[in-house]
Amino acid sequence: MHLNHKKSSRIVNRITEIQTDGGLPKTGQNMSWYMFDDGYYQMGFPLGGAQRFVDNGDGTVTDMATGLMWVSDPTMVGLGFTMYWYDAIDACENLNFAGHSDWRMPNIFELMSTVDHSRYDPAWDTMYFAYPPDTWTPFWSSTICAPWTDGAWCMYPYDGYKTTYGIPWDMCYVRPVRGGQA
Amino acid sequence: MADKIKTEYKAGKKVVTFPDGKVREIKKEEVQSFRQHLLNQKTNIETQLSRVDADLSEMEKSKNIIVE
Repeated sequence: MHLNHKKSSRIVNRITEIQTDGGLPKTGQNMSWYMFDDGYYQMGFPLGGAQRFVDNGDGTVTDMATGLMWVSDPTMVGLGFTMYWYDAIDACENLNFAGHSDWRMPNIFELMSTVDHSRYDPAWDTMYFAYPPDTWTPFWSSTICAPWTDGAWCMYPYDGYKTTYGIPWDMCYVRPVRGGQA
Repeated sequence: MADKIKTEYKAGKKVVTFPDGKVREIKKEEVQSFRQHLLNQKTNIETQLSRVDADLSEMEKSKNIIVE
């Protein structure tokens, strides 16, 4: 009975008993600094060294782990400035870009899924996602803060830190997304 | 008890040695950059706190107003 609680047994169970085509993306840490740290396991999708992001050549990027399509550079679509939360939602909803009109503002999970924790300033792969005008100002998500509904969850481009900004008062950047499951 | 991470300061850098021998050098600019990021977070948290305090103050003032 105690054997089932051993670390090695837990790992074997996870691999053999759970079959899925989805899951959390890798964090991006590929350097192991300490035994059994994130860089040691590198858990998440894509498995192995497979390519995660695909540059579609039209200003959009597809994430093979989440199936989401992102605007590579919000400046290219006229969204390279900070704006209020409501305006950011409207801007995404009204966006017609790369042959698609179903763009929307990402929720906080979607936004955080673009973070690469091996990088900072900005904390994403700049091969696929352009440098933001500044890394100190967060990007809006469409997710409202549960205990205080004047706030929406945001993400600092500097390091991917999740924070809350005030919907009626604050101005942040936005990166439109499309696709995903509903 | 696992081996601990060793930290030294050499040639103006922070040198971190991990138990398996890996060495990471951290430059002053990196730490200054992170410090600025923390200050930005602190400013934001103070701003959000003042707004939450304003809400609490209004709630306190309105406690005798009955909702029908």
